[in-house]
Amino acid sequence: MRIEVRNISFSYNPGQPDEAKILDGISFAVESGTFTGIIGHTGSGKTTLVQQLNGLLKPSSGTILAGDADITSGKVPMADIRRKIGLVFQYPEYQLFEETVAEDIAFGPRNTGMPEEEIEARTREAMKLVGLEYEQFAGRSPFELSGGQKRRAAIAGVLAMKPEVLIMDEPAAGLDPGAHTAILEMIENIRKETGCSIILVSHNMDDIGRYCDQVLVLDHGRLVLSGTPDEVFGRAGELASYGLGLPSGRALIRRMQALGAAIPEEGILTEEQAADAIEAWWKEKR
Amino acid sequence: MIRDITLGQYYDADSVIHRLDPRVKIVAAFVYLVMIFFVRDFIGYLFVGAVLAAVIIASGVPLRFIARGMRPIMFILLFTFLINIFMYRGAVLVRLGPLSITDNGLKQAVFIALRLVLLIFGTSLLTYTTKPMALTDGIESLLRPLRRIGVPAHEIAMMMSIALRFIPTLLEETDKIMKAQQARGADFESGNLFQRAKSLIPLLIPLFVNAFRIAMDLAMAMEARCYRGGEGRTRLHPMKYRRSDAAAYVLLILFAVLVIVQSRGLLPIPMLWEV
Repeated sequence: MRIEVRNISFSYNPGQPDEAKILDGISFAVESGTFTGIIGHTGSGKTTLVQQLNGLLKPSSGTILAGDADITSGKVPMADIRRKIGLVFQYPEYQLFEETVAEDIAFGPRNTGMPEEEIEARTREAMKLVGLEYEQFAGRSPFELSGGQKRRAAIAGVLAMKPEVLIMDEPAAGLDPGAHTAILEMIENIRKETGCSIILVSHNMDDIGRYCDQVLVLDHGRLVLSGTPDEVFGRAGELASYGLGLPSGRALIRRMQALGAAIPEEGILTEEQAADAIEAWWKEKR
Repeated sequence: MIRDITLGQYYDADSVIHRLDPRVKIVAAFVYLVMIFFVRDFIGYLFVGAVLAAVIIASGVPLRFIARGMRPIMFILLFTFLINIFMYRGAVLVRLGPLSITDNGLKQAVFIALRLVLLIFGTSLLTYTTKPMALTDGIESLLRPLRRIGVPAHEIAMMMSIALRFIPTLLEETDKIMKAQQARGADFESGNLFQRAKSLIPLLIPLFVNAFRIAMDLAMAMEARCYRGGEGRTRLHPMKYRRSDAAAYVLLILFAVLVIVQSRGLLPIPMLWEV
């Protein structure tokens, strides 16, 4: 499902003297099945923006189209929108509450009132997608899992709704490097398996560079840059002024350029690509 | 929704009342509370009400703000009023089927309602004009003499300030969990009372779990900074009585004496609708 955001603004206490503008005239589109990254400094409005996309917050002005439906019109049932557009909050493991992992994952589907067999099928499927063995984990209490497992269980709770768009707000925050990579790989895998589009809010430029088709840069509630990762990360100076850096591979190449190495930086987003470029450059130089 | 409650909030202003020592205000609120129960007729209430009005004006807290604080307890007020109005024998004024309103009932109902309103207006003024931290400092200081008989004054005050400090944190947490469960299709707004209560489970359980987690973290952080209770601790803002505080105490004593004398019928004015 395609999402199109047209010129939305959002403020707390609009029209009052203490009006706080959080989002200011943002427009973009997320094509079906793509991977979009949203980056920005703390307080730039990323979390507020993604909450608009599934109707948890309503924009003060502007429209949001999900498929053909205008979700800001008030005519589309919110339950439908939230089923189609899944949102995984930061630290989603803090929202687990049921007695067993399977029951917690089934919470979403059960709210939509589908038959019991369908709920169980979806629970199994969601657990498979996040890499939790059904036989091993379904009957356990979510509170006795490890941090990484809890997060997987919480993500499965959203996946069980079979969203067409999956929004993830800092899905890897607070995880160790191993679990971090595993979660990101899992997300990319979910996209490939289910064909849903992913919107990833992240502070990690390496993740953005590695997975995204499109990058949106927010600064003080405004969309200041957007494009492919290569385009966005090609404007290092501008990014730095928003307090943002580069993927480590790209940063390394730029550092080498500054030291006199003639390596083109275009197209380099991951460490592997950087290593290949350096190798090619080294061979040629010799 | 939760943010609309003004009862117990602090209203930032710079007034005579705001500047008073927190201990004076706590003692005054306590004395005021007791005095309200001494009052036996409407002349007494007139006097207490006039004093309260004077203090409210001096405090600079808008009446609108204080009245808004009444909203959450409007129901209790109405309930007690209705219970009282039907429960007393006397000359019947209005008859409604099996129920009847009597002159005594009406008097009693108005009397109790007034008492509640005065109670809440007066005591809420304490929190409107005193910062929470000053309040806990004041309580600690007032409880200190009781330490000899084993009252943990510092610990009580610390617990209170921690509780106050975490109100906004827990509100934020509630908001976050609510949104997360709504994203999974939870519905907190519709259904009958029973369904609504049940729909709170996905909110309350994570909230409790998180509250314990936050408490655990805080305890650890306090221990890591060598917190060991009140023994030998000094204050950033030591409390000191000033001349205005002494004047406030004198006025308070005067107020209490007048209320007691009047309520015992020792003043040369007749009682009005005594209850």
